[in-house]
Amino acid sequence: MENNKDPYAASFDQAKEILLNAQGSHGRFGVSATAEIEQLRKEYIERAQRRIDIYRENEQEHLESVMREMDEQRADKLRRIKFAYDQNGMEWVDEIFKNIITPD
Amino acid sequence: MVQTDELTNSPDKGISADQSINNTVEDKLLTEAYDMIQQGVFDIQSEMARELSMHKIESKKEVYAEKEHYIDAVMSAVKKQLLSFRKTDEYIEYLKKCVAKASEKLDGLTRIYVSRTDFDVIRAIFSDIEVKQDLRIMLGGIIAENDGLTMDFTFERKLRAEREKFEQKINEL
Repeated sequence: MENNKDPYAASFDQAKEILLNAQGSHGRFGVSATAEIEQLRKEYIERAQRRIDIYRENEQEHLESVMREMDEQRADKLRRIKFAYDQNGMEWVDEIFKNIITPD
Repeated sequence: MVQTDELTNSPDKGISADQSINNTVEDKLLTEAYDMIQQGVFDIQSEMARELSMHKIESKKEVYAEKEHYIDAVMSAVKKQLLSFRKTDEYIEYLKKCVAKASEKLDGLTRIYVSRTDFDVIRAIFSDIEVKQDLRIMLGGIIAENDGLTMDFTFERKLRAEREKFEQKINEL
């Protein structure tokens, strides 16, 4: 019966089969490639994030060190002011008082 | 600046030739990761700079408050001395000197402004000059006037000037 099939109809069926196969292959390849791209993207993003996290850690350490230094300088300055006041406070008062009661 | 060598020089991530992603796609992914790092670095730098700046401001505020505390303490003690001084004869001598100096500089005096407390005393001493009360004068001293020209010998003005000088001195510590 097959041999008696209309050659036009046989060609049409063959063409249809090839097209279906091709579409199937294309679909499978497309899904797979997309998944791999997504996987690669995920890996790159994770690695980028790790770099960012490391950078943040380093910067945080640096910042804390700078702030510690700043705190020490501030404490030192406050100590100097207090010491100067304790040593010279009364002298400052007398000096300013004298300046005020001296006519310009 | 964060290096992206780790990303760009990475070995093949197991993509077979059959399934290979073309260079354009890979470049795009690398660019995406690079941009992410750049943005992350920028965000971290901004955040840290903000934090540091706030810490600096807090630090300065604390030092400023402490300085103001000592400056106020000194000025308060000076005010106390001035209040005691006002009750002495030396204060009257001081006012006389101020009037004489103002008269000399302004080429005569037409009016003297004083505090309410000093009004009677000054009027009694300088009977030939008009004496007026000025409520702005609280601590003592005078404002002398001649033909619209004035000289300010008030303790308020001098105390303000002395405070500025003293603040400078404390800032240099």
